[in-house]
Amino acid sequence: MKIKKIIIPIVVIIIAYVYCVLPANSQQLTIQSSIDKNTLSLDDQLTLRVVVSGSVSNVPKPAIPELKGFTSYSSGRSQNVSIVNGKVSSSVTFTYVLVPQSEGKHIIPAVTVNFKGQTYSTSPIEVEVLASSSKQAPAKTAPSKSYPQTVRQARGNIFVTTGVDKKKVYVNEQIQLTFSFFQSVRLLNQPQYSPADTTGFWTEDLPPQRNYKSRIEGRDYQVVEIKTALFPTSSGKHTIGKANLKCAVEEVSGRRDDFFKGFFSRGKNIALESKPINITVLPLPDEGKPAGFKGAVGQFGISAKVDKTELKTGEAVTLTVDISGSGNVKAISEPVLGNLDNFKRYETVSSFNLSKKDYRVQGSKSYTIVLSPLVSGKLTIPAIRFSYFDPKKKSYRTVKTSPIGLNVKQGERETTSSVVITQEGIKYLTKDILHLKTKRELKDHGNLVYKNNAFVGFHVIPPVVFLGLLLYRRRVEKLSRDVGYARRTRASGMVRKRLKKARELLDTDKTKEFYSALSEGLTKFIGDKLNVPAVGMTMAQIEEILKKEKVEESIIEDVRNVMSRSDFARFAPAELDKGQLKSDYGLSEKIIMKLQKII
Amino acid sequence: MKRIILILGILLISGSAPASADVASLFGQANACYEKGNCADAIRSYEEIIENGVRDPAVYYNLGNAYYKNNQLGRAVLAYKRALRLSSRDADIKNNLEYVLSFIKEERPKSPIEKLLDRLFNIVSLNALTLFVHYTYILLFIILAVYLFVKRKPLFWINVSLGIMLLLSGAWLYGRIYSREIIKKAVVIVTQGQVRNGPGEDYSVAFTVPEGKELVIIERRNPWYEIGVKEKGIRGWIRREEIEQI
Repeated sequence: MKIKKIIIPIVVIIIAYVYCVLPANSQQLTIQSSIDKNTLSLDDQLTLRVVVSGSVSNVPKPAIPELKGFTSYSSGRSQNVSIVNGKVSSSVTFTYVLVPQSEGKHIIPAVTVNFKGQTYSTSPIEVEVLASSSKQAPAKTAPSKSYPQTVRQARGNIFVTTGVDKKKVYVNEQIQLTFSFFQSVRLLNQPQYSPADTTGFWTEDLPPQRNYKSRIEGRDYQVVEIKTALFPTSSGKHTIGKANLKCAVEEVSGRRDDFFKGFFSRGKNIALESKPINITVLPLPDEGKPAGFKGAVGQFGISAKVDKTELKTGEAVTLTVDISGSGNVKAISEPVLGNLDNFKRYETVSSFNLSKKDYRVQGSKSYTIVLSPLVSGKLTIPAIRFSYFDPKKKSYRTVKTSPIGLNVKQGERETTSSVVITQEGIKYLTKDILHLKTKRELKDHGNLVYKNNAFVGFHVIPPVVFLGLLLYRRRVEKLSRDVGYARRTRASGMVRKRLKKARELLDTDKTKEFYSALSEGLTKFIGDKLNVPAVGMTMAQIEEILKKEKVEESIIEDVRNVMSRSDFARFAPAELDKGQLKSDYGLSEKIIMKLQKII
Repeated sequence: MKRIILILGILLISGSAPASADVASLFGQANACYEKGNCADAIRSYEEIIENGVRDPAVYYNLGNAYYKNNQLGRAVLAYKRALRLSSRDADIKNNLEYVLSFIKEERPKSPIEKLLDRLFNIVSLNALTLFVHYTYILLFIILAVYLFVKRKPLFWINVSLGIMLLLSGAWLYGRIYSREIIKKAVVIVTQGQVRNGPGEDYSVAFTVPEGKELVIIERRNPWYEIGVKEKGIRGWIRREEIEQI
């Protein structure tokens, strides 16, 4: 007993925890589907219940897959919301009535529901449809027989109509198709509604189903209105087909008061159908079509936001672009993003949120783009443009966001650089000129050496010097090799020296020495010039040599005169006066000058 | 004699004299303007430095940048080419010139071999090459003179090699001076230069040249210049204002 007392609360707490707290924390949904019977006959019907429950207040509507072999229609929903400890949990039961179309084994596929990016689904259910029992056979055949009749009759107490809000629309512009079911008699079963054929249109249910009472021609009708939004996918003439409704009605007859008959009778099966509707779909004009136009029609706005504006390189920023408005929101394609070269861009995730308020398809589609800046500095996410066609104004419009500035600081360089290098090599983002040179000291570099005249002129010197040296070298060489040449070249210099000595003696009254120097000078000069030994050379020898050199007779005469007077002076120096000495000196100079020219 | 050479050498090497403090501050101002994005003012200040007779490659380089940012491609090319004349080996100048020239569609980018040859041709500065030729010349004569008096075989071979060196470097120097001084080059500074078949408006336009294109001036007959496009082998007459000599 004691143990039980303890265990029971624990179990209760665990169960409560599992059922309430856990789902509440994780905001999970559960979805279950069930049917009321697994076997049924062709003229029977089946109820499919889909229970979606979870810890959220807004339970999404499940998507009913295409049911092969059944006609389905929604027969409402019931909601149950409970709030425990501030946590909301709700369960919604969606009920669908399924009417079999053919016999055999059918599978009700998995019903799915999308919630916060996750898909929940039920398991498929198998159903066996049997042929109608013999008892029900007449009822089955009845509709085909009474077809034309009932339609006519439907004008009376039961009929269906379809209508559209406009017959001339642009591609992708919403058309509101209204199916109305008027009844003034009691229905004996759930009507089987097969919607109109809407090939060429994108359809979107427009709940809720409207039920109201209407009075037409003095008769009260119960009206059920089902609205559908249609978006033509291409231009041209399109037809919305007939919508059918099958139902069994109470036989209106004189025996109406027969309670049991009315109660037990299956009544009369009738098929109702609406008239087809022709729709003219206009193409979107080419004129003024913006470059980024991707087919959106309606009225839209765009907004963009980022989760942060201050970040480091390598970190991620989430850019959320919202496009909201009325129109076929689901079909909106991604807006054009500008140049995002400075960012690494990750996959774009889109989600949409539909609302069908006032029977207009509207809502928003949001794109979440994760960007990671590659460089630091002030970066800009450029304006994002979205173009659409406004059917009311019959013109294209482009909306755009304002650019978003980001302040990016340099993140950890090591990681970013290693990522850049190992994964993609060096990535060139923008190429531009290199930056300024900002060295402090400026110098005039325009002085070119070769433009300096002094510099160019200088180059004359080395060859000239070299030439001088060359000539000097030649001369030295010749003097050392050729005695005659050496004597000859030195002769003038020697004779000048001797004459100078004689000149000095001229002033000192030394007549003897004067003539001696003069005769020596002359003799040696001639000897050097003609490369003959001068010592002991007599006048006769001198004469002979000069004659051989073809010296003029007058010069030889002069030489002879000077020489004879020198000889005379050696023995009687006093006989000669100063005048004679001077004239002899002058004569000697003249002889030497003349001889230099000749020999 | 040796002393003279030494003095001359020192004189020549220190030929680039530092500029005055005024110019330095003007340079700082111009750089600041550029960095603030005020390119027009920056251009004015750089031009003023140049007018002051300071020919520094950095000034021409920055001037080129400012012209580029100011969308004056032709003048940017001109400034970069003038900078290269002063500093033929500067990689920054070459890079920016090449980048700016990439905007001129007709300007064929140089092939790697051409680039290599160009680089080798300009591997030493003009002044250094001049001095090299100069010293080789002097050395050649000194060794020759020594050889006159000391007839030694090694000296003879030194002389032969010095002679060959002088011949080659002299030819190189001549090439450098020729391409710089004898061939007068100009850059188109208007968006589209019109080259006519003769010196006058009456002549028809033969072809147009894009901004930044380098031309060779063949003849001057004011206000018309006869120009040639080297790689295309075409020539014609252009108005003086549409081009500017480098």
